[in-house]
Amino acid sequence: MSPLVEQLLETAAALAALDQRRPRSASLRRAVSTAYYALFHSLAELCADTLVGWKQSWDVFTPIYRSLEHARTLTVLTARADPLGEQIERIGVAFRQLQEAREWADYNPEPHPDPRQTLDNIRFTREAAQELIDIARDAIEAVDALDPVLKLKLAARLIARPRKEVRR
Amino acid sequence: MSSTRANRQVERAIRSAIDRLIEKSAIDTVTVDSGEDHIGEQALFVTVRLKSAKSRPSGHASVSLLKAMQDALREIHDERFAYLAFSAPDDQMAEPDRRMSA
Repeated sequence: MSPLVEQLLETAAALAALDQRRPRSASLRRAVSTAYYALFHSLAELCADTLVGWKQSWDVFTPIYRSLEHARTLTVLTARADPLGEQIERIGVAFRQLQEAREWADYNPEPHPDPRQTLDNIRFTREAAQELIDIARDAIEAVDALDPVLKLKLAARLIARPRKEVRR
Repeated sequence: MSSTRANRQVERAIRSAIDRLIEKSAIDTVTVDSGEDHIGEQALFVTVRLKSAKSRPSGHASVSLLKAMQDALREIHDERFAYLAFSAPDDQMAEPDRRMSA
């Protein structure tokens, strides 16, 4: 795990632990969003490190790092056709769960990501934020543990655009 | 975003996945709602209410359960994604928002 990804997880945990008596919604939302971004950065690092390498100059490393897109990453990680195996499926379900929560955390004014909970006047909780951070950590450890061949295959799929998509 | 209760076959599939990974005695209730998710797809929203916060699963166990739910749904040819949330007594809810405190 790179220092940036580790620090993002630590920041998420610190935000979720703020406000001892009653957590503020903004703290929990930032915790959830930061946990998602920790996983997103770990995948961006995987792509850039695998396809370019950390030792290369920023002008070749950064464009690959920045090529990762949220929607495409979800599509690749959760693809049913030609799946990359059980480990990637685990990362995919975690990524989707976190992306849904992050979408709520960053943009939705309702008090809970689950609409039914909102209807029942149930607000988001500190423990739910901590669970999502734990899920992000587990998925990041799974990304780190992929073997080099699988990392290369995943990086290629995350960065390369299918021909149809490129032509549009 | 609106949501409705899921049908019994879906509930059974979800419940079978949960029962394989979480001690039955630790669970108070399980609810499964269907609705639209952040990418505009129909999805399921599973809430597991635990009897005690001590039974809250680790991140690894939560990911295993997410994966198990998707596999169980695939077995009944349901392609929806199931999102997972746990709650327990004494969970610390965020402070009320403007609407609630008005």
